[in-house]
Amino acid sequence: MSLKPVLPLLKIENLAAGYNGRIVLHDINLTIMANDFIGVIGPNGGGKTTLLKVITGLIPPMTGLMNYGPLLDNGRRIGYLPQMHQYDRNFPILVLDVILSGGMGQRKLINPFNRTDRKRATELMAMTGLSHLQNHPIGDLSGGQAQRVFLCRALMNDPALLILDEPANFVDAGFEAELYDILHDLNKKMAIIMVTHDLGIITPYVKTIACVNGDLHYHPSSEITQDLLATYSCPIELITHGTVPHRVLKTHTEP
Amino acid sequence: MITDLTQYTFFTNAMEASLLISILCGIAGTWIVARRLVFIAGGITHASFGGIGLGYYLGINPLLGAAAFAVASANLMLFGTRKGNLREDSAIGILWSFGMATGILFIFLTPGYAPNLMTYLFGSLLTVGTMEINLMWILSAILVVFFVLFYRVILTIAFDENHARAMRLPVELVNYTLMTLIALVIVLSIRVSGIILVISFLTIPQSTANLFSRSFNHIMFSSVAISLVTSLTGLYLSYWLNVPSGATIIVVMVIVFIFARLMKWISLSHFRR
Repeated sequence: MSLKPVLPLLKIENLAAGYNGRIVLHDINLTIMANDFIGVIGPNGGGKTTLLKVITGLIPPMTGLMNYGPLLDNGRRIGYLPQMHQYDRNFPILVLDVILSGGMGQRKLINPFNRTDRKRATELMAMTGLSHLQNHPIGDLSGGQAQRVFLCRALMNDPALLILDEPANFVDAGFEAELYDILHDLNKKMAIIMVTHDLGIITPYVKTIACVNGDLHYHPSSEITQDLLATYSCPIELITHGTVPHRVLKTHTEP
Repeated sequence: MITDLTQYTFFTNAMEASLLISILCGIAGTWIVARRLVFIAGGITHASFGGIGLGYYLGINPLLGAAAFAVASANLMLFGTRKGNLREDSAIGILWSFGMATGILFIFLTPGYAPNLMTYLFGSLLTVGTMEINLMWILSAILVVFFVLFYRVILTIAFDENHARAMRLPVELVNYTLMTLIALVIVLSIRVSGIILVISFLTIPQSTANLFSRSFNHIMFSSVAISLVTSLTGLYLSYWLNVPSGATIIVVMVIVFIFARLMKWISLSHFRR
């Protein structure tokens, strides 16, 4: 163990946030350290996406504090993969341009990209199997392919914290497994915070769990039981553990 | 025939104005079409008629009044729909009709000479003056420099505003600057193509280019080229047929669009076979 004091990436204290004066989240306390992998669970409307928007800086806190650590460079080294439906499929833009746009946060505004950026974009496309699509318009891609593009975009600025909002939605089953492997690798270099409905599948990768339902309950391990969830009033369908990743389906209603 | 016509200053002016409106509207229109702001552009265009009327009433250059009305309404629309919880299409409707109404009232109240409204409604390419051409050169230079320098920022924000905001890009500053530039593009284009027809320069060449490319900068370059070719063709045709130039140009643009659409349809069905 290192004796150097480890600074958190991000520290949230007694924070409340919402929209148009309506409070969605209250009494939020959360500290994110380097190499954390936090799974965010909770019911719809419980404020999961709002929490992510506060962390990215898209909405300001109403009360309380949110401080970025030095590693996050005032929020510029955050990679953000928003929920799927928020883009215009008919917008005239090529895959490569979407990915490059993810690097804008840390670049100067005039003529921002150099050879290193283009090389990084090429590597990211190779990693996610998009190389053959780089000169296609974004509207030509399937939902799963588009999600890979947005993952590459989030990784373009070499983030210290990667924020994912339901990354497995609309993704084909083949890529879903691949995605979690990629995230597992990325987690060696960066902290990840991920909203998910489907915690059961990814439990082997997630290290800790935050349950968001108006407030936030932090569970400092991924070992979590149904009873515990009930105490947190956090309805979730199923969580299992095992030595290998596995999926448990609902019991059949008919014998 | 061509050498005959270029002897006349009014005709060379018209050709120069065609080039400039193609550059201005080709670039601005690509942004407008990509962001689906065509009706906001229509609203700005019609709102500026109020400024033209005010210009006549006060005895100042109507272009100056139009510029003031256009810039104000463009920024009001952006502001109102963002902060004022006003529905965008309703905001457009209000400014659109208010601009036309005040324009007509001011012109009615202006004593003495009643200006020819048709010039402003349908444009008059053949009577464009040196001062307007110089202004169009200046605005073209500003617009081209702005798009060359900030191309990546503009594209990033236009495609995904929320993501750009999360990356700390100056989203509001860029949007308001672009809206102001577009308001000025519209005002200078009104003199050439008229209030009613300016929207065609902002949408038809872009839609034609969009049939063959879905890359932002390709559409921008092709729109300028398509716009230039169709407006010069329309200009010559209007001279030979002795019909209004603005309307002829629009008809040529639409014919080219339909022809391009058919070409694409034929080539697609050919490849499928």
